This record gives sequence, structure tokens and C-alpha cells, in this order.
Amino acid sequence: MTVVKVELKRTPQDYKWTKPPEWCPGCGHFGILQALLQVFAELNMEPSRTVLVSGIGCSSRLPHYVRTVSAHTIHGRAVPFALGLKLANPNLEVMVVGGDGDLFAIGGNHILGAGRRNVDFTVVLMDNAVYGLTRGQAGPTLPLGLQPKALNKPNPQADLNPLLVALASGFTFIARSYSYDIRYTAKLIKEAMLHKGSALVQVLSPCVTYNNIMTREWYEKRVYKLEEADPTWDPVVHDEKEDYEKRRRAIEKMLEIERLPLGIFYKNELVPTFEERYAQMYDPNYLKFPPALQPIEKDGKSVIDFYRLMADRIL
Amino acid sequence: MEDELASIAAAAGAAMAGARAATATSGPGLSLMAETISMLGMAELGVVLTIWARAGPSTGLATRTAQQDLFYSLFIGHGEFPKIVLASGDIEEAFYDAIKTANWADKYQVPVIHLVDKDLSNTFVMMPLPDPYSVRIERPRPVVFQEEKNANRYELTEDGLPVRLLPGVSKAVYHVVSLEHDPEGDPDEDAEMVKKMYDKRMRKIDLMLKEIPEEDKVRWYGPRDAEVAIVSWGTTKPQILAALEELPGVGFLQLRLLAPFPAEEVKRYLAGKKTLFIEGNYMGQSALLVRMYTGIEADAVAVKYNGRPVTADEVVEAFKRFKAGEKRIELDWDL
Ligand SMILES: Cc1ncc(C[n+]2csc(CCOP(=O)(O)OP(=O)(O)O)c2C)c(N)n1
Ligand SMILES: [Mg+2]
Repeated sequence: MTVVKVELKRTPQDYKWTKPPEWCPGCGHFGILQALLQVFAELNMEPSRTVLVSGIGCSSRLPHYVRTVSAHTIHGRAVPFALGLKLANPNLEVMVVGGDGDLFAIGGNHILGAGRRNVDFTVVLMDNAVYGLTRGQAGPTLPLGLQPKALNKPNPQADLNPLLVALASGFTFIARSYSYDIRYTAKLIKEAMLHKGSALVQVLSPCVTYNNIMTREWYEKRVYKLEEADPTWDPVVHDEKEDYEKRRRAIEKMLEIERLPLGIFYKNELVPTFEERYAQMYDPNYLKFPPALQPIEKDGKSVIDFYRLMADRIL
Repeated sequence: MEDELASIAAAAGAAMAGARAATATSGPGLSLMAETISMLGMAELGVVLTIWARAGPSTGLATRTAQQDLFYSLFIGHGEFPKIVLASGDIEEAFYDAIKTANWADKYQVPVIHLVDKDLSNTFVMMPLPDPYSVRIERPRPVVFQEEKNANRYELTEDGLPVRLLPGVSKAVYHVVSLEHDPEGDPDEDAEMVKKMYDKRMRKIDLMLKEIPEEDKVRWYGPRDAEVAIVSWGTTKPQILAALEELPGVGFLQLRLLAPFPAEEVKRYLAGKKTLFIEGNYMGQSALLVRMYTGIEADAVAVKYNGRPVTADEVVEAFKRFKAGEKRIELDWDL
């Protein structure tokens, strides 16, 4: 992202929209909202240039509580919508927020597509392992054999690991946080936004209404911070030669399930972003005149030089 | 993009950013786009979808042509919302229509389906050079505020059009949303507000029918006082025009705008005439559509659904069989 210097200094309060959240009292998603407001204030994001994009779910309602431009789209399609928006105008700061169901079940395919491109945007996964909005069905991150209260039998499907999926598909920043730790969540989201390339932050966010197994106590027994457990932990790829080793170590940590590591698992800014690739391979003026900012007409006349464009087809 | 779900979602995002946004597909891909088409209607975002109809159902005859997807294009998307469907009759029309449909997507902020078919899109022609500068490019100017300010994207405007706000350009802070909403763009299920918003969106239909010029709705060829009108749409046009040379005294009404449906114009042209509909599907979809909107019953319908386009000779044949009293004429020439 590009940090724009402006005189005005905003506070978290300035990023609150006109209406209050409508989540269950105690919902983990409150912590993520609070963290976002803090980060936006710290980075003094311009609300009219920052776009939150979501799909459908309790989590996907978050943009309605935030004073930035936003699009609350349909179930599973937030990521491609956000990519279209960002690529049409790369000057925008674009962030996707959404649930485990939205981003990794119905919308999972788009995560794979996004990683391959490494567009400079951030995905915040608000993971409660259930479909909260539709009353607690099993989400894609619910472990095998668990039976939260809305299920009439234990979950017969295994969970997928969003961090491994993100790594395999090419995300260049991958982190995990826990929503009741608002400061830590804010810190990781901020790092993700400052990262150049596609970033995924999984935030473990207990659903107090439907997930009566993966509760606050359940998580707090398991989570620990990577950098606290190992002060030499350095997830950053400083040199392409390190990449293999950094990935291998990240995977090792991602595979831990008895205890759940929090922190940054992997960060690599040496991979060119899609925007850079596009400018280099197709159009050197892309970043200055992206599709949304290009003039297309003058006094109603197309500015395209049609006859040059069609030169090889004109007899 | 990875699939058609993504393609249309990305186009929707690009439209929100302020770019002219378009995507192209055929039947199977259009199916994947259905949910987002409905979202474009509700969120009020303008995207052009060019549909190259092929022969179905399902993967069907994947590299052959048909006109089976008229109803699908008209009615795709759950719920009710304004949408434009325009069918081009030949390559030159398709060229100009591409510009017009983009104008309409920008202006009315609705999904716009530009309906062509495999036959037309795979045809190479020698043609006079078209003049793109002869069609005015029209797009509403974005509202730009002096200072950053909260704005209502869904103001209850008289003409139903949303204000054009662009992220990062307008200095506006606003919400775009797929749920029913209040003017600020936040979910709202208040009975009175639901109806107001619904009416506001639907008002765009009247506006389109008022503003879209007649030549983009229907075109008439042949003598105005013809007793018989051949009625068709899309890429049967060149073959019908060729056949008319052998059918003096017969007229041809080409339907171009199929949604919103120009019932007044169609009624005016067909009043007092016998009608022969010709099209590349089994059901005679355009004949049913005309009956639905105008009450005019087709005198005969000639249909073809073997994956091949209708030829000029078949048009002549259809006319002869119509004269001989056949009501349903099945054409089946191979090419
Ligand atoms: C195509 C489609 N299928 C199903 C639904 C119903 N639906 C709404 S939200 C949701 C799941 C939400 O779960 P998640 O994304 O994890 O969000 P949470 O509510 O848990 O925060 C489902 C299945 C829908 N809106 N659209
Ligand atoms: Mg969930």
C-alpha cells in the first residue's frame, strides 16, 4: 500500500459508521472490528479511498459498522469482486473481510486464484468454524468429529487449514491471530496492510451462540505466540534463496494442531505483485492510468485510435 | 479469472471502481453468473455481458449455434430488477451495439446483456469500415465533493438512477450492498422502505423505454403496408433480408431490444398484419414473448434447432409453407 500523508489525524471513533453492530453480545467478531478501527486510525486511512469488501455471513456484515467505502456483496464472491475493484484502480486500499464459510467453503476457489496473482490486498478471515448467520452448521474449519450444538451428529468431514491453503496458492503474507486479543489482532492486520502483495490474516473468532466447543476457554488453552515461544522466529524472506527454508518452517508451524501458534508465519515481498507484472508485461502506464481513471471520451468521442488498433484488418 | 463466478464478480468490482466493465460467456458460464446478475440489479452496478449463445442444453453442441437462450437471458437472476437485453442482427450492428450497451450500463447501473450467438461471433466478413466515433460515448459524471463526506448511494431519486460515486475520486464515504437497504446502503427491512427502494429501482424501466431510441428497439424492413410481417431477432437478420428479395411485398420486423420490452413499438408495427416468426429454437421463444407483452398471437412459427443457422433458402421455404397454411414449421437443413 501507499501511505498518504494528510494533515488530519483520525481516531478509531472517526471510523465508526452511523449504525452500531448487530452481533450477539460477546461475539468474537467485535474484537476484529475494534482492531480494524484502531489500525485504520493508526495508519490514518482515508475513508473515501479505503474499500472494505465482504460476502455474506455475520462476519460479512462488518463493513456496515465502519466508516469507509464498502461493498457487501454475495456469498463467496468478495475476493473476485475486490480484485476487480483493486485492479481497476490500484490506488485504492482494498480489504476483504469474511467468514470461514464465505471465504473457504463457497468462495474457496477464489482464494486459490488470488494467491497465484499476488494482488496487493488484504483478506481478514473471521474464523468461528461454523456458519454463524445461518444458525451454526459446520464450517470448513470445524475439526473432524466435533459436534457443536446445531449439529445433530458429529462432523464427518475433516477441517481444512486456511494457512496451508494460502501458502500453497501463493499468498505472500500469512498470519493468524485471536480476536479477543485486540492489540495483537490490530498489530497483525496492520502488518498485513503494509505488506506489498496478497495477505491473509486468519483471526480465530469464537461464535458464542453456536460453537459451544471452540469457546474462549478452548482457544485460550491452545494459543501461543510464535515470537514469544521462539525469540529468533523470523518469517520474512530476505533473499530468494531463503524461500524454501522459510516455507518449510512455516508449514511445520501451520501443521501444529494441539497448540495453535499465532503470529506471522510467512512474509515475502520479493514476489512481484500482479499490478507490477501487469505494468511490466502489458502497459507501462497502468499504475498511472488504470482503467477506472482513464479518460475514455472527449466531448462524447472515443479517445481510442480505432484505425491504428484495427490497422492489420483494414484493406 | 478462475471461473465465470469470478469473472462477473471482478467486472462488478471494476464497475464500482468506475471502469467500464464487461465480460463475455455462453450458456454454461452464464449459469454461473446468475447470482451476481441479480446482485448487479440490487446493488445497482452496470456491467455488460456479451452472450455468445450456443446449442444446448448443457454442454450440448458446444461449438454450434442456436437462439435458445433468449428466455434465459431475459429472465436470469432471482427476484425482480431492471435489466437490458439487446440482440444484434449482424456484425456491423454488434459493433455499434457494443458501444451502446456500455453507455447504458454506465447510465442505468444495471446488468446489460448483449445477446449474440456462436454463428455471428465466429463469422468473418468483409464490411465497410465502421465509424466508432459516430456513436456518442455517454457516461454520467461522477459526483465529486470538495471535502470528504458521508454520502447516500441509494438516494430515493425521481428517475431511479443512483448518483455516480467513485471510491477514491468522489471523496465520498458510502456503502454498496446486495441486501435490501436504506439510502445509506445499509440493510433495512422496514416495510415502507422496502417498497420505496423497489419502486425506485423499477422506475428505471420506464426511463429506459423512454430514452432508448426506436432504432435500438425494433427495425422494419420492406414495405410498410406489407400484409405479412416476418418477425425475428438476432442473427437471422442477414438471411431474412436476403430472402426478402425473393419475397416482394413481405415486411420484416427485427426485434432488437428484448428487455425492457418495447411493446408499444411492436404493437404499432404489427397492427393488422399476419405474422410469421422465424428463429433458432424449439419453442418459438420470441413469438411467446411478443404474445406475453402485446397479446399478438403469431400466425405461424418457423423454428430450427439442429445446431445450424437458419439459411436464406429456408426463410423462403418457411414463407411458402406458411402460405400453404402450416402453423408450426420445423426447419432442418444441414449446412
Ligand atoms: C449462495 C448462498 N448459499 C447459502 C447462503 C446462506 N448463507 C448465508 S451466510 C452463510 C454462512 C456464513 O458463514 P461464515 O461465512 O462462516 O460467516 P459467519 O456467519 O460464521 O461469520 C450461508 C450458508 C447464501 N447467502 N448464499
Ligand atoms: Mg463462520
